[in-house]
Amino acid sequence: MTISYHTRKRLGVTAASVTLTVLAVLMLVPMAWMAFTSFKPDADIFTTTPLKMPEAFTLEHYSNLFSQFHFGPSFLNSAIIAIATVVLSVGLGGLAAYGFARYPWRGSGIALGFLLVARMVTPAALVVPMYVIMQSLGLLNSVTGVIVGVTVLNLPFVIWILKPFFETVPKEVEEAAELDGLRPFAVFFKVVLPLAKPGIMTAVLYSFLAGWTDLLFPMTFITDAEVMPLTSSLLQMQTGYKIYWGELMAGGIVLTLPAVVLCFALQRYLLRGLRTGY
Amino acid sequence: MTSSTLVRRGEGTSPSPRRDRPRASRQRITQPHESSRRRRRTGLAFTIPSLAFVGLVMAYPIVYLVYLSFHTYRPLSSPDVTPAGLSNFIDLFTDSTVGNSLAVTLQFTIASVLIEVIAGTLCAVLLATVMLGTQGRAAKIYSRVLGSAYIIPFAVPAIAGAYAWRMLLDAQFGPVNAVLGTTIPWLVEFPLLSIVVIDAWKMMPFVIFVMLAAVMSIEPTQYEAAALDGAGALRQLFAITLPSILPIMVITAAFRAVDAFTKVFDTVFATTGGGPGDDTRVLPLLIWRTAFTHLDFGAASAQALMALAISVVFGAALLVSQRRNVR
Repeated sequence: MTISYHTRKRLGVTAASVTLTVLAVLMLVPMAWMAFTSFKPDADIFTTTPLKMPEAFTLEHYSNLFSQFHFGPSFLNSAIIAIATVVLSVGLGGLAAYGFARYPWRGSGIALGFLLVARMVTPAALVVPMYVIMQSLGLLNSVTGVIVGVTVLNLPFVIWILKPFFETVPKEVEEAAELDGLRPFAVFFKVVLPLAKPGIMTAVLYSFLAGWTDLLFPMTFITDAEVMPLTSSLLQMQTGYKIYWGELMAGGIVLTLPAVVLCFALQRYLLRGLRTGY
Repeated sequence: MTSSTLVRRGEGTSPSPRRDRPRASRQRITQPHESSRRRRRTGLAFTIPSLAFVGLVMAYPIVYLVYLSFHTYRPLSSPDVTPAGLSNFIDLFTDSTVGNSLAVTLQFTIASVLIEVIAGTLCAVLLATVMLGTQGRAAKIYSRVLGSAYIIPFAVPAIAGAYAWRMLLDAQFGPVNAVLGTTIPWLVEFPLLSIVVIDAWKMMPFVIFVMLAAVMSIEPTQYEAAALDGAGALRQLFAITLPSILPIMVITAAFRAVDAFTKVFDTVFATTGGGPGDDTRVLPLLIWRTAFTHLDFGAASAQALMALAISVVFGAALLVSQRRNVR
């Protein structure tokens, strides 16, 4: 029995979508389970039958986060770190990417090369000398040290993302604006930036994620619970003899939600960033 | 708002005869020689802030790292930094944890990149099949929902994902064991495999979307011609799809490899913690532990320099080769 080409093709599409759906569900399991567990009372978490539906859900773990684990200040610290990372790296990186794209000077190619290789630096290697330097500057236990560290690792990436965007802005537009008497910086801010908005949004999104999700710098630099961001606050729930699983799951959700919401809202830019070379 | 400003600028900037600007000024812009010094200064003005920042916050610490690597600095026993000659570097070769850590990091990198690139590319091909093979609004929405589902692991902060997986794989309370009817401590019995799976979960979306763009850019007429010649789906995959996306696959794998080698930290720290024993003590974790658990900054600095040298050499080679590919 032979099957026609079109039937076979339709069968193929159906099989592909079934496979993909199953895989998508599987990929959602870890975070779904985290959310599910975070609403369970302790008795339903510490059981050998975790699949059983609990009789009641509770917000207890979420309220504990704020009463016992400083999640209020931590949330604020995370936001400060993330926003400062955005401002610093998009500000500095935007200018630099435009400079490299439009005003190359002798040696700028080498400078750009160094900046790009800086992308490959092992963060854990950088944090060792930085810790000693921050200590002598008295910048341990402050968000400043974390912001500086995250930004310097993120900046090369921002330049890498933005340079091609500035290169696609038609040169004629800038030349015309210069003829109009605008100085290069005015051309950049008034003419080029609006045109490169998709690139800027991409850089903003990735910079925010870099600041929001970073663990290495805060866990190394900050020991004072009041100054910790959410990421290193999570580590506090795992002590030598006890793991606060309920709070850990709830805290993971609190940390995840803003990042996921932002990624969905700016999904276009997220995908663009992936394609222009994450 | 943006488009209106643009239009306004566009109008005002056309070189209309009404504007009585001297001709020379326009020529200065079009002739690079005359204004090259000014352009150079402008270029420096744009790039100096970034270069200064990176120089101060990255280059200076790396210089300091080199200094530390030739010294002994153990703040727990003495606050003094004393010269140590080459002993920290000799330790790199004599201390078996360093060699072990390198091997573990390499195994992790190769395994996770292979899984991510192969499975991710397959997913991308399937996703493209669905997107191209269906019509209508419902199908479009469906493929968008699928895409969004795949994005989630990538958007999840690594530390949150790591703890989610740790709960999932828990020997006593985890659902994976409950489903299987076992009590296997996965993170203890299969530590390396576990972190590879977690990393693949987190980073596969990246590969999927990069490869999806590559697959979607293949001329559809190629497939039509192949179908007319009687080539089946598998034949089309191997004769058309894979050859055309292979270069992008290689570049993606290389970038992922550098990334995996240099940045694997959060996941391992929060799940296996490098254990059991030294089974998953990847290089970044070894450096961090040496510095901040054992408080031996000299030894940590030598390890860090080694890690930097490896990643920078590979990274630079990658950038150079990619540049050659593009041009």
